[in-house]
Amino acid sequence: MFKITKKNLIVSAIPVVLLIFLIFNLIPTLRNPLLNAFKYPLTFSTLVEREINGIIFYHRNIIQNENFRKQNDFLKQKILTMEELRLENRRLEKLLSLTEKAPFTVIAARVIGHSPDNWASMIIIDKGRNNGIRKSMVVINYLGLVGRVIETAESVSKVILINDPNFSVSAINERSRQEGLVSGTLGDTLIMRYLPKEADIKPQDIILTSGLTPLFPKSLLIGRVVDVGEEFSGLARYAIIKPAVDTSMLEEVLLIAQ
Amino acid sequence: MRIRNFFILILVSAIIELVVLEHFKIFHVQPDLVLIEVVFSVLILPFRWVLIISAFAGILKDFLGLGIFGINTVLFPLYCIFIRKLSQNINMDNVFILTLVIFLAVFFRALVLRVAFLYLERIIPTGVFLDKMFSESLYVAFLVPLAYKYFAPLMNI
Repeated sequence: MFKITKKNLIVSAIPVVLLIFLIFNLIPTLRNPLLNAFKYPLTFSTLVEREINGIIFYHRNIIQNENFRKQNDFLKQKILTMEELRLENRRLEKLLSLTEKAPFTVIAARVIGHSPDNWASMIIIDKGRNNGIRKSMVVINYLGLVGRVIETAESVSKVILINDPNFSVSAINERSRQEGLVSGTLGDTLIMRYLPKEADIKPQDIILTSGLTPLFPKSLLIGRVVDVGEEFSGLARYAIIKPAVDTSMLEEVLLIAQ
Repeated sequence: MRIRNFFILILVSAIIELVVLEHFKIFHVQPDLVLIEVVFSVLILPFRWVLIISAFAGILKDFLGLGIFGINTVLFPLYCIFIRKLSQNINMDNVFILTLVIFLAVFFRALVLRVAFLYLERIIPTGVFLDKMFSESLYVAFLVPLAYKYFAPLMNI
């Protein structure tokens, strides 16, 4: 029977500490093969989980499908109108000799895993370096900004989500053009900081990326202002933002290939 | 045999946490199955193996998550040493004591994270932090009696 004596504790602790240091030193070389090894069990588990969900929620899915079809027809109509406006805009831009920005190309990826703990907000996607994914690529979906690639392996990547406290992006108020820094809070909302005391910002304002953060294209939708407050110091203001994307419902995402 | 089973159990739990537990979130938190298994391993396995298993579980959890500063890798073996020490003075076979110990373990980790976030100048509103800290601790503690039913035969109770 193993008893805790000082000697035993030291003898046991030394190999554990050495193991931890060894593994942390080896992490850059170990991470990629380990991360790749998890792709197939994760993909399989996701597949099984989706199939089971499909069976359980069969009737709900039929009703949802009908609603989506109606919505799809409506959106198709809207896209046609938008297309007309885009063409008109292009013609006007040419007239004004404005340099047209090249539209970005995107890579679609499927979400195969979520954060295993409650103190970080991230997802794992089924595309990696072999598919052209690079670290720091911007991740979006049809609603707006989702996050940024933080780690890539050959066939999977980790994406830090917009509501993680380690995520920050330079942002701008669409109406007043007031700039600030948007960060995650781990909650349902984001916070926009470094706003001057006299900043023109109010609830329902739309917040977009400003393009000042490297690699983040300008005008990606972040969310809407729901509340405005004053910093504890009284020298600046902050805004609480409801993100356009619901990060808990992500299934597919798009990565902007810069 | 038991040791190999624990390794497999921790690996499977880690995959469940990544894929399935997203759908079992209550108040935006999911339970930490790996932590529960690590704590139970202290009462079942030889201590030398407990340290190895806890380090393995911590590394796995940090590696699969963002694990910026390897908090689980450090905390899991420390928890094991502490619980082992505690089990020499208190009868840990009682489910209520185990529940309390695991509640405190999750609670303490949240506090350490709070300090780390403050040090890194990352903002988590106090309301969100308290909400997550209490919800996570209670949720994990709630699952302990269920886990106890599974692990009790292995503990020779």
